[in-house]
This record gives sequence, C-alpha cells and structure tokens, in this order.
Amino acid sequence: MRDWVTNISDTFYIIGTVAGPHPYPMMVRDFQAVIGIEAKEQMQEMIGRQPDAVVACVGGGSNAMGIFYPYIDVENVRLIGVEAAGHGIESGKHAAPLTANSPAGVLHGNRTYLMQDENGQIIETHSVSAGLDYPGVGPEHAWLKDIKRAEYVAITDDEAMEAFHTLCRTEGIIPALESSHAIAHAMKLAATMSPDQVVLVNLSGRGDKDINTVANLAGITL
Amino acid sequence: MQLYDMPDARGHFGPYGGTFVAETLIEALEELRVMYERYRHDPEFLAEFAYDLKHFVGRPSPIYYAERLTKQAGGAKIFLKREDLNHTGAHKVNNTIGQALLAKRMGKPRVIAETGAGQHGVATATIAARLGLECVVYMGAEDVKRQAPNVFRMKLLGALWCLWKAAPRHSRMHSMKPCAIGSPISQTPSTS
Repeated sequence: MRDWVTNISDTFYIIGTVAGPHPYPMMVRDFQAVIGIEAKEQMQEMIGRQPDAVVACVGGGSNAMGIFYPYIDVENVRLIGVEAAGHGIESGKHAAPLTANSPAGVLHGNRTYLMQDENGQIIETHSVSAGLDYPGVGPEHAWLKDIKRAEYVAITDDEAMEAFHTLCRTEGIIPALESSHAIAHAMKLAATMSPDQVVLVNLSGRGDKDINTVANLAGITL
Repeated sequence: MQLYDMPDARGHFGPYGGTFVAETLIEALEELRVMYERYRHDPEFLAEFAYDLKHFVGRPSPIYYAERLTKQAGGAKIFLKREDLNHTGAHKVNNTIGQALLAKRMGKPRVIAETGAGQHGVATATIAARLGLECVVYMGAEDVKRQAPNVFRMKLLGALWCLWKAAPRHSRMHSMKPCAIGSPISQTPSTS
C-alpha cells in the first residue's frame, strides 16, 4: 500500500481476491466470472440442464464469486460457499466468519463480516489451508448471505484432509487443500440427494503445492 | 440479461463493500475506477483478455464427471469444474491476467502484489513476465520461510521480492512496511 501511494504514477496494485476497496471486489469477480460463464454452457452441453447445486470454497471468495455470479439469476440452482472450520467452529480456531455469524466490520478497505473480538480487534484465524485462512470474506458474499441467495457452511481440517485423500484415490486428481473443503461438503450434500440430481464443484486448484503440508501432518519428511 | 445488479456506483453491496481507505489512496482508486469502467465492456480489451485465457491459460477448463467419487458419496452426481488444470494450477491466474492487461492499458509499467501462501504472488509474477511488466511481490517474513518453493518460483519468473518483518498476519492493505527492510532475491527485472 505504501509502495502504491509512493509510486502511484507508474504502479498498478493487483489484488488477488474479491476484497479490498471499490472497484476491486467487482473487478476481480468480473474477471473470475469466466468460470461460471463456461460452466453454464458446459453443463447445458453435458446434461442438458443446470446443476441443482454449485459448491465452492470461500476464503476471500474469488473462485466462489467467479462460479456463483453467472448463476445468481438462475432459479433452482443452490449456491453453497464452504468456509474453513479449522479445528471446529466451537473451538474458535477457524476461518469461517459467515458460518460463525461474525459481526460486520471494516478490513482491507471494505465493510464485511469479520472475525473480531468484543473491541473490534481482528482475531487470529486457523485453517490447514493457507488460502482459506482469512478473517474476513469478500463483501458480495456478505450480501449474498443476507439476501439468502447463497448458503454458507464450514468444513473442518480433518474433513478436508479426508476428502483430499478420497479424491486422489478415487479419481486420480490431487486437489488443493482449499478445494478439498468444497469436495468434502459436496460429498456430504450429494449423499442427501437423489442420483438424478447434480452437484457441480469448483475444483479451484491443484494440490501439488500442498504435498509438504500433507506429508508433515502424516509425520513424513519429504 | 442479468437482473441482479450489484454493486452500486460507489461499490456497495447493500451495507457491505465501499471504500474505507486513507485519503492518500483515493486518487489512485478513482483513476482505477474510471479506467475499469472504460474498459470493462470494451470489445478490444475483452478480446485481448479472452485471447490470453484461451492461449496462455488453456481455457476453457473442462467439466469432469467424477464417477467413482459419486459412487463413494452415494447420491447426486458430482461434476468438477477443473480450474486446477489452468496454467499455474489454479483459478487465480484468470484475475491477474485481467488486472495486468488493465495495467498495460493504463500505461503502468510496474505491478505490485501482496501474497500470503504465495499463489497470488506466483500468478502475478507469471503474467508480469508474459507482459514484460516489472513486478514486486510483498510477503511476510514468516510466509517466506514457510513457502520457500513459491518464493523461488517468483524469483524464476523475474519478480522482485520484498519481505516485511514482524508484520502481523492479515496486515495486507493498511500496515504495509517499506520495502527497504527486505532484500530482493533477484536482479531488478528488465522492463523492456
């Protein structure tokens, strides 16, 4: 930020998620919306209709906004954001401001739901996944929660790790730990639905970057 | 036709969003807002973005029916949108390409980014190399240690890398410490 202020004439500050001051949340959403635009076409082509539910992990929430946005006006498609429950919501060691019903506050230039103490100080977050380890959430997710267009749930570290291994072994795909949260919830959700229904998961990233973390948790040194 | 129309002109999503920044940043954000409004529907800009998404990132990313995963879950069919197959391995690059192309349109030869785990830093360094932009990535000292492979990736891609010491986590945006306390791990990249 100080760099940007000092070098304003020749420098562009690139924010990586749907947070920050206006116009960043909108701009990042627009650039990521290619995910949902493609998905709508592809689902139509593959199954002749749209999915019953779209599931994506939420830290700041850019991959989720990217796939949700083109679906907001599509009726009968549930939009479900999956936050990081870390050691469990009740433990306080998590990164799930929406699921935990955190109050609103201001962080990184915008107003949104924020994990904070009674004095409004940001509290320490925890998730096995670095990309979800964030005390706030993009302001558009806060709005989609309020208007009940999207639902938000949380998945613990242990559940995400289990889903990580399951996807590796059943499909030959090593998912990012962030995306493993979405996979874990999609499996839970699918189990409550019928075989003629469809759940679309945004597999936001690959897990090569996470193999050291996974190995360490298993007590293995690479 | 999109019925949902958010945010409003000042960036509010209902009571959320907005612009809560120091006075010194208002001018830069206003310039960005005006330029983004100019280009967000500009056919030439959108064509340039679409070209890179197709030829550099490899889009469209496929949708894959996860048959064995579906069987294991027992119920609805599970399909996966394969953003993991993008160049650099995640969805992050879609956004850094958009913003870097906008930087180019705005005549800014230098991009900066902050990264925690390093994924956004790598995606930024990647497109900066592709477009010949100077790139500085800021990273906390702790994260630099934890994410050594990503730090090295950024170095390979020619990014100048700065760390700030003892910055609390989540200190992005407001409490950035000056770059001088860090040290670049590569020579200043050329800005040809």
